[in-house]
Amino acid sequence: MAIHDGDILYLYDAKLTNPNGDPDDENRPRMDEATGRNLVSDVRLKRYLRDYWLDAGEDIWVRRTEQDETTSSKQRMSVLLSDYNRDNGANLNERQARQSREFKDWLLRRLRDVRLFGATMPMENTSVTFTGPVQFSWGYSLHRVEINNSATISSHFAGRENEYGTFGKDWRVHYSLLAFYGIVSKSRARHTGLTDEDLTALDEAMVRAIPQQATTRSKIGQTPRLYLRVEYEDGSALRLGDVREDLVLTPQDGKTLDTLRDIRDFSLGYDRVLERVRAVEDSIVRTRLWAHPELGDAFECGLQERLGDRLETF
Amino acid sequence: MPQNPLIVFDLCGAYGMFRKFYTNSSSLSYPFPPRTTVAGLIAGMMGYERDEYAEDLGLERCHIALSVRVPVRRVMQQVNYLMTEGHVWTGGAGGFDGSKGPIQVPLEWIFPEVGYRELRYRIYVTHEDRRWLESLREVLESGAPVYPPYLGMSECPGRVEHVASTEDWSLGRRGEELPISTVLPASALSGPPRLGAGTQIVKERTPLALDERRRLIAAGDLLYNRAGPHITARLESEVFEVSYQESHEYGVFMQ
Repeated sequence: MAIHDGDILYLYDAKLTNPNGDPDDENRPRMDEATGRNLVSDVRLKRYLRDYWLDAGEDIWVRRTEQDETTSSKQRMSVLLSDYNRDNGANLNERQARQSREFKDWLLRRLRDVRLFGATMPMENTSVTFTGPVQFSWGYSLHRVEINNSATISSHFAGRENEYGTFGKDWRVHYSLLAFYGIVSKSRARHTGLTDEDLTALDEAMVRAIPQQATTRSKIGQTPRLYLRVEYEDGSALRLGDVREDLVLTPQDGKTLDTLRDIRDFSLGYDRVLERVRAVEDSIVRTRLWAHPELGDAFECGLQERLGDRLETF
Repeated sequence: MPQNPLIVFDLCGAYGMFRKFYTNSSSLSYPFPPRTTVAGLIAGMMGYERDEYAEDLGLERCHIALSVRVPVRRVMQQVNYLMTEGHVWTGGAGGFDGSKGPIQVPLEWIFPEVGYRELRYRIYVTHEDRRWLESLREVLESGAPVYPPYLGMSECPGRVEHVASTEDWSLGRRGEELPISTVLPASALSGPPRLGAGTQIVKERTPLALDERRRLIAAGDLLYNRAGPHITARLESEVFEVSYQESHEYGVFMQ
């Protein structure tokens, strides 16, 4: 199936956890201090996805050092090259590989994260930068977020001989509903060989990666809530764009927007998003939607009404 | 010779990052996209590849002006990049795949001032080739750029809105003091700008043009009023005057 231009809206929430620490600020949750909104980098989001695929046994280009001890000792490209030579009965040396179109195409076929998000890879005499067809903005919370008072924690690190712990801060957000905007570019997809199957894999990983990967002490308590990917007719004029500001949070049960602690403390209004969908309806080829049961089915019903069988849920 | 049209469009998005060319370890941002960024944006929307557009969007053939429509603020965040020192093919070096671990870099974002939904920059373009302008207008009107628009970095997806394509504009030298809506090359001034109450004029040294190998070939100082829509000044250089919709504006091209 052909790749189309597309938009992505993705929501997840974080409860008593640290969605993304700022390493320069005691690892405090990233904040836009002027608006009180919590921020999460695109890199953090993509890390969950890459780790998810790695755990599923896929080869992924951007790893963490500790995930593969061989990466730093042997050169990763050399490992890939010997795999290439073995699989293809070839005998390229590094210099030949750098100039080989076939090797580059083989690398792209092998590495899903590069096809989706791009990478800088060493090729020819220098490096080649693939700009990924899928790009995510930084996420931000749709409301002011309160950071809990830092409990001072003490921990013993392995290898320390004395009996004293080290004191550190343990910052967490009380509650944060985070929203990301993403795009898919069909022109960029051509450069990295992105397939429709990659996009389906992305859809699934967006929903499954966080529950599976965010399991360490500081990351537990995060739940995907909504994922919407829209595909547009080629050459069509109308786009949904970034609709994060069109979502309306209405606090319930005496809560205010500043004191949210749980998904049950507010309702999410989609009317303005659905209005936007109506305005660009003619451009839409296909829409893929996943919504967490706790959000209810209002959004799905609204989309269904406008898009009919162009809406797929999963 | 009849004058070619002036195309006016807006670049909008949640936030942007327009990296300063003279910083090294910290990634600081201009408050607005410099001319090179706008040229790359236009080229990408029209489908040029990275190394193809230097001439068509160079200072000689293409004139670009920019105005900051939504006040901006800066937000500093430390980010983890991959350490890529050295070369991944050679012994013990390189790390495009993350094998050398991360390096932490301060990164400065441009956010809209509190109370604004998104950033908005207005861009004015004209070109010596009327057909080139026609194809840019088609891209803007169709709403389907070949490569997607960004506000400086790929993590800042944005969108463009076609505002006007007009022949109702003129370029010339003017003797009187004028309110200039666009960012203003410092070299264009013939005297100090008027400093009314609340005016905050900032000077930014920005790149203006790259050659086909993406090397910097021109840079210049640009002035912009952080606190308001224009700078009032008497000018030495040519000023354009344009009318579209309800607007009547004066501007100076970045060069």
